[in-house]
Amino acid sequence: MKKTMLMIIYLVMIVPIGAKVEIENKLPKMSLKMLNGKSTNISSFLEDGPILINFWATWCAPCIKEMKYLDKFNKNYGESGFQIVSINTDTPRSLSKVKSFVKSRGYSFEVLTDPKSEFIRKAGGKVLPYLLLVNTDGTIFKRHMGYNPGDEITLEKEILEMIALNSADEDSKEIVNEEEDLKSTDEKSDEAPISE
Amino acid sequence: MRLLSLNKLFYIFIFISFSAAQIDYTISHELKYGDGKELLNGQYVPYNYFENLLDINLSYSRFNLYEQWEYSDPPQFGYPLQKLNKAYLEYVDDNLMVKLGDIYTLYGRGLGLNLFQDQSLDFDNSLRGVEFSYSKNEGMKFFGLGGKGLFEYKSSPSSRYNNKSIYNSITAFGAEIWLPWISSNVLVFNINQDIETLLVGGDIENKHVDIDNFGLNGIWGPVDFYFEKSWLDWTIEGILDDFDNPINHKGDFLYTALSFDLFGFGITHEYKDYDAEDFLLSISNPPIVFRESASTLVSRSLHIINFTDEVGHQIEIMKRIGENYNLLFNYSLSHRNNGFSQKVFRAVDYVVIPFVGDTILTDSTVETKNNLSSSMDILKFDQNSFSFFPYNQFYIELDGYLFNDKLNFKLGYDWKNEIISYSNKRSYDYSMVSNEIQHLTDTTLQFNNTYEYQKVLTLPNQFSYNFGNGSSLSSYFEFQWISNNFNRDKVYLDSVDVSLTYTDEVYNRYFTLSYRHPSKWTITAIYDYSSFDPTNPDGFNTNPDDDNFLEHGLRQLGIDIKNKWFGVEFLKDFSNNHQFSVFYGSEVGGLRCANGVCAYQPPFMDGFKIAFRSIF
Repeated sequence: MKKTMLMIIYLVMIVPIGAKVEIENKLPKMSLKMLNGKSTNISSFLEDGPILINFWATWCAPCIKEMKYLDKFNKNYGESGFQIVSINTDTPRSLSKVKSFVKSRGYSFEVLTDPKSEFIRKAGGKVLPYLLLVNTDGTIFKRHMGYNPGDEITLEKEILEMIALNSADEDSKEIVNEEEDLKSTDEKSDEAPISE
Repeated sequence: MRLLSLNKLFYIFIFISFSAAQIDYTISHELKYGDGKELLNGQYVPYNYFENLLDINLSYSRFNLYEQWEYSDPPQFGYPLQKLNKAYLEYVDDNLMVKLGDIYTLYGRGLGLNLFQDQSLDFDNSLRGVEFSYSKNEGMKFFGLGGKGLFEYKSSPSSRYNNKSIYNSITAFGAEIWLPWISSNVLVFNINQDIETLLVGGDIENKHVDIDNFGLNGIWGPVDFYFEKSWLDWTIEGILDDFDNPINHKGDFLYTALSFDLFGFGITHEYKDYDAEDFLLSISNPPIVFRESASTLVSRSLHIINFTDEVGHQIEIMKRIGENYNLLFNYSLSHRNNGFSQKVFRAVDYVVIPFVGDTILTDSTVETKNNLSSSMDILKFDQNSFSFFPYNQFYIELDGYLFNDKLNFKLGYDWKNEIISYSNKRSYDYSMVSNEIQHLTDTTLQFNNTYEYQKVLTLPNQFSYNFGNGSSLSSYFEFQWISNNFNRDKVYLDSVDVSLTYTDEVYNRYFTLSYRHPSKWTITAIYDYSSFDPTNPDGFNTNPDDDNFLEHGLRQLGIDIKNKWFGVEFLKDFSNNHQFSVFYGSEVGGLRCANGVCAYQPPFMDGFKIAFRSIF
């Protein structure tokens, strides 16, 4: 026990200050099944932009209330590359009803299933609903535990903030790329006479 | 196989991480503290708990490490625990997954294998060992596991402690294959399970279980279908079955599901046929095939499924009406595979019963007869079907939004019929038999229709008003009427004595009112009322000397608090990563959806409960 505690202290204190080691709070990597039965890696949704991951279950009343707003956000901000990825955590007890439920509600977002609760455990979820706002690089931007009507106002602000931050990152990357391109062009033009 | 040391897993991962360029982590911590009372065998006794769960997830490259540390002295349920409780090390790439440590996994819909942990119920049937899966391509996957585990369970669901245990040793192998020409997945696997049970008196009983499983699922046009069947074959060696000549038992579990859209109606039909009487469920957890309700009162009178002997259907229909309303209809029914008709005891055997027990009734004096021709006979709910423990439940719900989406409402109607106990051979006692001997004038006497018939009507309603500035008012209004009809007819040659027939009528109410403030705090008032509690017939809150602070104040205001439970909860969210809640008062227990989250709560009286959740 003592040894293990010492190792934890070691991990917490020594590892982060190691020269080459970085500790980051990132989205766990995992493949989950979509409602059409095909598997997909969660991180593949980050290719288009930042995402909001929503853990829910059919028996969770606050989850259902919140999903009405999530659907709106998915429609309103989809053009910016942002999307909602909804992860259902119903166990085999009620898994068969998930597809009908999603279809009848007409949600616009993608729904994946986590019947073993493996992904929510890896993501640190303790209660439902549980939300993760994830930057394009996979780092966690914000988290939310539970939902009360009214919370969607803060959530929308955070989504917009995240979209802006990620767009700025993209812009700065583009600027850096453009600068590097220009630099390399200049270098080439400088080098050209020498090569001649 | 020697159990793996959890600490070793941890050290291995640390060693690997020394060379790591980047470690990803998620750490969550949950603290629960309670200081109050609980009702135990009719007495109020102190109920205190202090539970800490620390979950650590670390990822480096393709490796993941999960650990769950627990410091509970004692926990909400179960015995004190202070150690690294669960851990696994996992390697994952595009084709291969290997996991070493504590295994939680699910094969198919759990008919053969469903290993999971539910802290709120103190349930954990995980194994410690190794698990793998290998995908050759998208259309073929092989998987398997091997491990051992101590599975602890309760003989009574209401017990706070697990009082029974078995030792499991499992190996399983299988494959999932995509068949493009029928657009379906085939799932096949085999499980070998060895169970060791320590019996009272020190004897050991061994069971060897062999499970073969076949599943088929796919999407055919607008229809999703799922079929799974498990064939169970088990042998018992112990004091009940001869070691040299063990008896072989057989059974099977069948589950099917069909879902499709028809004229905008989302329709799901599920069917179960679980027929493996006396099979000990430790690694299987098949679908329940009845509705899991979000209502607090409904959750307190749920159908108690018999996973080893039950046939049933469930149909659920959902329809979106316009943009703002949703209609849901659900109907479930089930019964045992085999029932029995009235049992006729000959007088000469009957006199012997008190001295030698029931064993005398295992010969021709017991008449067993399956008299239910189809599940539809359940709809009649007449006495011929009571020995099948029939159950049916009907639920309809309308939910929607009004006033520019500011008011959200949900109106429900839930009706349940169930025979929750039936017996015609074990309900007598010696004194009763002695009194009845004088009636024996000829050769026969029947005990007839000893049953408890429960009818429950629940109206679960929810309303919430969103002020549009980040604040809201939410409420749950639930009403419930329960009728428990206890019946036992003593049929003599010349008369029927129905003196043991009576009905308990119970009326329950459950209200909560929550206010959410824009600065992320919520306050909730909880009120619970039950007109009659069979475990506490004298009533609750009858003595002013036992009042807590809240009850004392309400009594001073002239409010009758008999059989009422009051609680107040305050919750505060800090910086999205931390949540703190404090509860004061009493609550009956069950599923509670308040403060924006849903969780099962144990019964709790006259005290404080604190919960603190953090995620990093």
